[in-house]
Amino acid sequence: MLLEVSNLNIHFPTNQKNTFVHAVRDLSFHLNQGEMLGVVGESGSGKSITNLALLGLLPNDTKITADKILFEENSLMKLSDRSWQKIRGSKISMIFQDPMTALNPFLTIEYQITEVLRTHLHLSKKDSFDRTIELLNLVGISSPKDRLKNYPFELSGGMAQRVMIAMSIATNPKLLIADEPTTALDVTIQKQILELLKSLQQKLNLSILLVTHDLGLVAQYSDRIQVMYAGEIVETGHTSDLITSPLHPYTKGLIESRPKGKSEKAKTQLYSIPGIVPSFSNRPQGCQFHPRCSNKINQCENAILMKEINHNHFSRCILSKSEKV
Amino acid sequence: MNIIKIQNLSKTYLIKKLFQSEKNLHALKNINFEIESGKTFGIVGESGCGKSTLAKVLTKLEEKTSGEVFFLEKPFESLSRQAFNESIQMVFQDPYQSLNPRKTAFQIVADPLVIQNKLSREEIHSKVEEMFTKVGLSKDFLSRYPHQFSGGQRQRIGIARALMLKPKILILDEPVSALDVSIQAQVLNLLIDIQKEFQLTYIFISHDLSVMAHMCDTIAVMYLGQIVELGTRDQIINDPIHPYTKMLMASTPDLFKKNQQTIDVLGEIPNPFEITKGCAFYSRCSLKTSQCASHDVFLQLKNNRRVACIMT
Repeated sequence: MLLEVSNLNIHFPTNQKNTFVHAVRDLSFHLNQGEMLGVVGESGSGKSITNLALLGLLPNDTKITADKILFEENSLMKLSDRSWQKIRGSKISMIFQDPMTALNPFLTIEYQITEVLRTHLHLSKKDSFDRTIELLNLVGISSPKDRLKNYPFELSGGMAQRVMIAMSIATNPKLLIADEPTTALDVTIQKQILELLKSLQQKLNLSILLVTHDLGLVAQYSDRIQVMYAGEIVETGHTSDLITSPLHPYTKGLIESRPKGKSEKAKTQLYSIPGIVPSFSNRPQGCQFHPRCSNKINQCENAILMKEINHNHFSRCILSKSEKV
Repeated sequence: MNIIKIQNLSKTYLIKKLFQSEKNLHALKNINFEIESGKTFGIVGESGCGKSTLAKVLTKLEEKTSGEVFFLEKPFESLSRQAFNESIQMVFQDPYQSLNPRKTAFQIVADPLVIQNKLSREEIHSKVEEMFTKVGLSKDFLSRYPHQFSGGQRQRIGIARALMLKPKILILDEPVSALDVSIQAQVLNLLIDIQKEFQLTYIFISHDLSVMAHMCDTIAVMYLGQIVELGTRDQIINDPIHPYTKMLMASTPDLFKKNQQTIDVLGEIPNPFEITKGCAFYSRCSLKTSQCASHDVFLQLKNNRRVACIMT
């Protein structure tokens, strides 16, 4: 197991003294070597905050508690800034949503990639140059030598995202966190970037945490899916299990509310989940989803734990039952 | 009856850069289509294909360079500003930027009527209240400011504002792409309902083919300022002909799609200045021949289908 997180809780301080908002609660998950885990959730579900916690990038006044956060058997809890620097960018790296704002507009592509190589791997000038060319080839940039002196504004969005990916895999990391890597890109480019990530996963035995709001994307590319809602994981399982027989009413709602495209007549009413995601400061008791759920019963207001319903298929709903006998 | 008819519409921007000669950017090239009253006409394409320019020309936010637009068989130019505003309105993509943060929801929705200056204050108030209930917002929200609403509620305010003058045509520029997945369905349902109730004609702009398939009667696929394929919803979704339409279909994420596609999704949209002759899609096409680079292509009617490709 490459990454193991158990009972991660993240609290942010508010403007009022000694009051905190509970942004992420009781998050437990794991990631195996060479696996792609898709994390799906709407805005405010805590998916980006979890990523930042895994990279040690949350502000200092954030309260982070967990039973364990193990990465390659080492704990990531309470590390010093110096030890974080050794992990961040070399063992765990990240691709951000908008490549145009994530790259430094004042520096060439060459400078930005070689900087990573020289800081983390202490390569010589020549070695880092050769490795940069190799990396750009690997991410599918044609004639990389001509591209080296380009500034980010000279690249298209898809190209810039390829450069970001080259930077993030430069140090042969074990874990790559891709936070909405294609949201700012066109659909045809989105497909190219995800196929690239998938091929890198297989070629380099890389573990990828693919974070997105689009269930269709993770359904197509990731091995396992984890659905988040209001700071909690509500369902997790293998992609085919979760898509074909979802257990949690929120996952069911997400799947049903997607336009079906081909298979359905135009302009039929879509299923829609009533209400909106509760705000951080106003979270309900018990099951986070129960105010929007059509099956709710009185017990839903008590705390609810993740339960294994079918083999390796977990749901945080007391009404979830196995259909297999 | 055709509510809108567009003939040979073109829009060219003159690009001036320091120390460089002026260049023409052809944002729209020879656009031809007509829209039947009460139907939804979808325009799909990637960034830079001209779909938003088309919306701007149709709302007179941009002047067209050449060509004709007819609204109910009258040329666009013959309509007065007021008559124009009463016939075409627009809903914008980002509900966070398209509402004035310093006005209350009431002021935002009432503004079109206040500007028209035809009704008394009481009449305006009752009309706004009525519209608020129609788009699914509570009357208690009238005095709230935009930041107090969620994304979906803001988009409902945007829709209410666009409907206040009882337009015939509503242009929807990516109306759900800024919303969360569970909220998208709510807004799409609302749009379907009010289309029936107000007998609206929609021009629906989006990059997402699955949303298009759900909403539209007719779909036009655009690439670099041209319509490359135009057909009924069933023709485009179930039986696309143009290689670009096929590429878009293959790229759209789908829950149950197997990961084996026969179509390669290659290349990126080229720099529009570099294309002088031939088919704009040439550089990314799998069917290309030497003829494609030398012959200009136009939307042509063949076997009851309109496609801009010489190979089909």
